[in-house]
Amino acid sequence: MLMSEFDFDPWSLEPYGGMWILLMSVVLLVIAVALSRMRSLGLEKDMAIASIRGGIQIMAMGFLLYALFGLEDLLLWTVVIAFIATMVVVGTYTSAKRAKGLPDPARATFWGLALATLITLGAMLGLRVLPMRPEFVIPIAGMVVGNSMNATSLSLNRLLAETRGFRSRIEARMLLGADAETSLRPHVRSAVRSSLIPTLDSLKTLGIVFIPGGMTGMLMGGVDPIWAAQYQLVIFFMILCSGAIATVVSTTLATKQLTKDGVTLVDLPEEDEE
Amino acid sequence: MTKGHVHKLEITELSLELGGRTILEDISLDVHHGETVCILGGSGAGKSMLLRTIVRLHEPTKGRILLDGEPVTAMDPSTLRRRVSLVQQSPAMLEGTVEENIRFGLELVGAGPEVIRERIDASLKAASLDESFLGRRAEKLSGGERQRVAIARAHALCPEVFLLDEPTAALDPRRTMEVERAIQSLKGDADFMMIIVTHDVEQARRLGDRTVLMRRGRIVAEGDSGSLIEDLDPEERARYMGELACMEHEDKEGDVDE
Repeated sequence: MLMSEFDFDPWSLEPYGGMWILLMSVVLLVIAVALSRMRSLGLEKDMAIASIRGGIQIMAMGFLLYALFGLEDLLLWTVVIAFIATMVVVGTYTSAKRAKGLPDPARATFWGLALATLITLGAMLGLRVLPMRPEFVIPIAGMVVGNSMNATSLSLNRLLAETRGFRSRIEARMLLGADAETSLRPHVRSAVRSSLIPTLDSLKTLGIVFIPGGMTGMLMGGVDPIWAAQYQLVIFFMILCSGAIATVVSTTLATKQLTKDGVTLVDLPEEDEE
Repeated sequence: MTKGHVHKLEITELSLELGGRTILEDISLDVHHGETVCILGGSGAGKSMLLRTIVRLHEPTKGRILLDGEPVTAMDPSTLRRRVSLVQQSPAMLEGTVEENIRFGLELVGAGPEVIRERIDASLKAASLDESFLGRRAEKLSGGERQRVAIARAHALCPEVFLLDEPTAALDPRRTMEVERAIQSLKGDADFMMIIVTHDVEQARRLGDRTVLMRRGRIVAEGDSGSLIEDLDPEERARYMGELACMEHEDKEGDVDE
């Protein structure tokens, strides 16, 4: 039986109703919190705060979209663009927190995310893969920005860790006449590579190990499964491409910040306990 | 690869502050072509920082460093570091083999295969290493061997000034002798100047033409390597010998190399 045969009511407390599923899914949260407590992971508070914060945000997003889909063209697209810009800005600062120690982390993450989003979304809209409709553009922009943000965080975090850990080796290269950028290059490479591995692994096992959120949503919405699969693949290529752009751009900018005028490495403060 | 040579390295009223702390204060020092100067001092004296500042791993807060009259801060850092080679204390090996370590700098300047071959041979000899080392993984070598690989890969670039930072710290006497032999053979070549940082008075006597004594970022005495320490007044001398002995002790404790 397809889920779409249900008549959804967001406010219903009957089984499968909106309020019901929210309440019932708290069971999963309780399990996660219990595990954290049992193993002394110290994540209980984080889990609770993240769930409440995420919950409020996604519900706000739901209401906004609900209101948005009723708007007229010009206003509609203004709001859509504002929406995507907000995603990029929030992503910028979230990712920048993982790159503490850089003189100006937000600068590196902003250009990475902005270019990645602009290029991938622009290309897919221009090539008429993505229809110019907010119900497509907004969720897909969300996936692109979100995944690019994760990749950017991973790559900068790794780049900083390697710069700290391999400082003497980086300096050894500089002392043999390599400029600062060349001396950092192997570490930039490993940072970018490692940040793209999760996406690549997901792509490799796509359809076998996991059916991603986008496709899940489409299937639940009653879309033709073949078309849903095709579209999911497109989304994955977008994620891969935007991840590559975001990490390459942001690590390039970070590299410039890590070297003082290409002469020497900046002093990195000790890493915070995360 | 042709090489010129620096006639004079001139350090004038050099100061360095890092993170609000004074690391070097009012250092003035001249070194001439063919000369080997040892910098002697306890830990925290600023010896290593002085060498790092010469090759612009730190930018001086005040003062000047001139190579034949040209300020190092006006030079392209890569060119500077090829002309003035710093071999760091417990030098980090690059990934790969000893040969790759030596090739790295040569390939950066676009040296051809024949030149590379020739430079590898010459620098192995200069560092008292033989061909059997070329294929070995640099990171797996012992402390003394790594030190000599670092000397070899620096030597390959035909530097005009050699800066050696504690070349034998944390090495046992036999390894120390091997490294010192390599340094003596470099000195035999003598077409450059050398500054060697050490905390070992005897080593300064063995290797240096002249010795400079540093303490808390300042130069406190300068003179003939053989007699510098003896010439200090007894109280000063006792203090330095004490500080240096402390470092010797720390080294032994940290000796996990071999």
